[in-house]
Amino acid sequence: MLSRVANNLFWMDRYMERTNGLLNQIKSNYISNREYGDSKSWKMIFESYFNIDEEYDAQFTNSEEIINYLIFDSNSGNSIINLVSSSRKNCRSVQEHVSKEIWININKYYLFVTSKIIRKKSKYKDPINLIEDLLTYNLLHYSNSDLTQERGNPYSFMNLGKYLERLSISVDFLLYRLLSDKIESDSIKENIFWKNLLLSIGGYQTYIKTYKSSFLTKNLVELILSNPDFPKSILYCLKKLKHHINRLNIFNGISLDNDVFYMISKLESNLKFTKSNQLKNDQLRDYLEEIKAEINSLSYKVNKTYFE
Amino acid sequence: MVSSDSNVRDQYRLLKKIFSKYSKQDLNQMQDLSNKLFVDQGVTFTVYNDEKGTEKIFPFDLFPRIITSKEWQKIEYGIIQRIKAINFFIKDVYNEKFIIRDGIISPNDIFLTNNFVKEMNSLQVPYDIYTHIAGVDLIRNNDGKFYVLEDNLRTPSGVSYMLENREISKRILPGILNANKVRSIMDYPLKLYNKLKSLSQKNNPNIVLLTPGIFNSAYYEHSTLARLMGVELVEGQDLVVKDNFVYMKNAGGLKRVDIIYRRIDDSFLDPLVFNSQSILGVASIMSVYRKGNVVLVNAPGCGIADDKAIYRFVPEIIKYYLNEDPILNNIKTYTLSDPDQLEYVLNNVNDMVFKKTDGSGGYGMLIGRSSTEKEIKNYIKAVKNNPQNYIAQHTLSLSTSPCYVNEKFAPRCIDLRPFAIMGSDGIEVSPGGLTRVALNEGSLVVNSSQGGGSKDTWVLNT
Repeated sequence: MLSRVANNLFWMDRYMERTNGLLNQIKSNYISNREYGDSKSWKMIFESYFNIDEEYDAQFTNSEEIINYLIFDSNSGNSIINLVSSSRKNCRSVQEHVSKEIWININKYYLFVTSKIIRKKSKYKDPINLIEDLLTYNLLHYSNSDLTQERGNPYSFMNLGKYLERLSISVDFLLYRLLSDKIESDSIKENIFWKNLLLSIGGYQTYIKTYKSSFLTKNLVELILSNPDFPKSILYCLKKLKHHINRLNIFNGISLDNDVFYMISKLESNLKFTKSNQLKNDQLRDYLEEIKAEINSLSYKVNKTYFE
Repeated sequence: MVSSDSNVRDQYRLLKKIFSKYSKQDLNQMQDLSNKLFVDQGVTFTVYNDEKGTEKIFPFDLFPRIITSKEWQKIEYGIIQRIKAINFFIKDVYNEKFIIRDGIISPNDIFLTNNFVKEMNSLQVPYDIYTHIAGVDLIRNNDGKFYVLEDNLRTPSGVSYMLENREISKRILPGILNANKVRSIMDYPLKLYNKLKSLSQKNNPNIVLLTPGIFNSAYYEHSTLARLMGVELVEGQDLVVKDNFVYMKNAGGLKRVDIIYRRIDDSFLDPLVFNSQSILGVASIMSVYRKGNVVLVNAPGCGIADDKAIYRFVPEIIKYYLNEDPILNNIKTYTLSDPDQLEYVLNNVNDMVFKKTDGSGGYGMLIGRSSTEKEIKNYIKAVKNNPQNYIAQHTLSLSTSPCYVNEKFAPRCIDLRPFAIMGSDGIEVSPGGLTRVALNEGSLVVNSSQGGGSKDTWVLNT
């Protein structure tokens, strides 16, 4: 497999995963604004997806405008329209390596998000409807990949991108969302806050089953860091990455004992043997920053090993 | 569709019966479905009017064009004969040059054109085959016979539309193809793969398709052919020359490449030999080619034979190399460097079509009867300045076919481009080919970039 093709497959899925994460965040943020009745800060989204620190949301008059910007702004790299266009561009370059169903779905996604019709207010009065229609394409992409893509080199490169992105999203979620948000003292509002938080990462039901309804920061941290059965947890992602790295090394004749493999194993052990629920706030923050840095190094190493 | 006595020709009877049952609503639905299928699958080409470029679909017309098996036989044999002779011609021109020594063609017509690639002089190619893949443009004139309009021997395109049109027809006219006993074309990619494979001595040669990339207007075709043949689609940046072989840059290391089906123009192929500013090609690939360590399809330098100036000599070429009369004839072409012919042509401008010998895509031509006086005056000035750069032909009455335009059926001019593939085991022509339509009323221009569309082409079995 050509390095360029591998790179395109990797980024095709990375962008799709990013789109999924961002859309879910937008949806839950908007709902929690409606429930709270006041304009909650969109800071976390701007910080983690757009790298903007200051009070960027101040220039918009309402949530609908912000959502419009996050989905349709053609100038910002991580707006939904640009993410989908980039994913489609990558897919188009490697059409022969993915199943026809995957290409057609991504192409339709691109045609949908770039069409003039969906911007008409008359079509989508409620932004949630638009977001859900967009998310449908993401869900189709997951099922297409699962059902129609043969388990070869392309499949593993796609998963490499997907799980690396998911790792980044989960760690950012913990750093920016959990530790920064001020939790309301009002118990009803507090519950709504937790519910929306968990929904945005898709972990509401898993949390309730595991911890019942006592919402505690340390439980959420444990869920996202090291719950082996939660598909967005960092430990789960690392396991999957290890599996696909193994396959890639075999397919491409690369030594099984390389740096990428070593880094993943190290991170895995770190997570398994750290009692995260015993860390205090500051220690927790430091620990998470350390994990984030390791994930960034991992990304860099992956690039060096497979794409150069 | 209709013969000279205004009766529907036999081959269209069944189709007419079926179509006359459809309401306008049915037809509109079929048209919409075909458009949607094209767009959803990304069967598009990009037109660059601005930086971003717009993706357009090549308009598809529902009503198929039918060719009887008898008509097809003549076309098929004619094309095989033509390609065979042209291949001998190209070999001769880059080796002994007998045809020039025997005075059939003057040296000026060969050496003064931009299409003569001197690096191909004395370069031996596998099985002496230069034109592995060719698209010959034909039209049916008002005498009912097919004539050759043009040969396309460099990077002929349109095959993917031929295949896609058939797929769409199967969707919108279910069961009708069987009822009409239409010959299948779906094995074209497999046939092409086998012909390419036959060019190498190896049992399992590594074949790649070299594309200029996603920004090329024919990218969809490159990608489709690579997918259907099961070969890797590569760009120049994916290849490297090392130790006199060509390698592709794989994720795990380098892999040798044996055969390259290249869809890049000669001039962009090797920056060390041709255009030094090209970033689409592979540096040093010509030296590997010269050593015989890689096969290039089509061979560089084929442009010498699809030059409009050489076109008028093809009947003589067939006679010279094969000692046969041409089965398919050329359109009468006037050589404007000959003062008598130039005079005749200038006296009959309204009946003439002028073309530049190195033009393509329908650009650089003038159709006398549909141009203004000023346009004609300016064009003639350019012609008089450099007459050997131009040829002229009588305006043709292209045959027409019913097309569903503006919610009704109306006649539009069509042409035919069958595709021929040549390997060490001979030449094969795919039944039918691409029928292009001039969608604008009264227009004779069928190219995609200028308002053309296409139809599915059926060759009957009986």
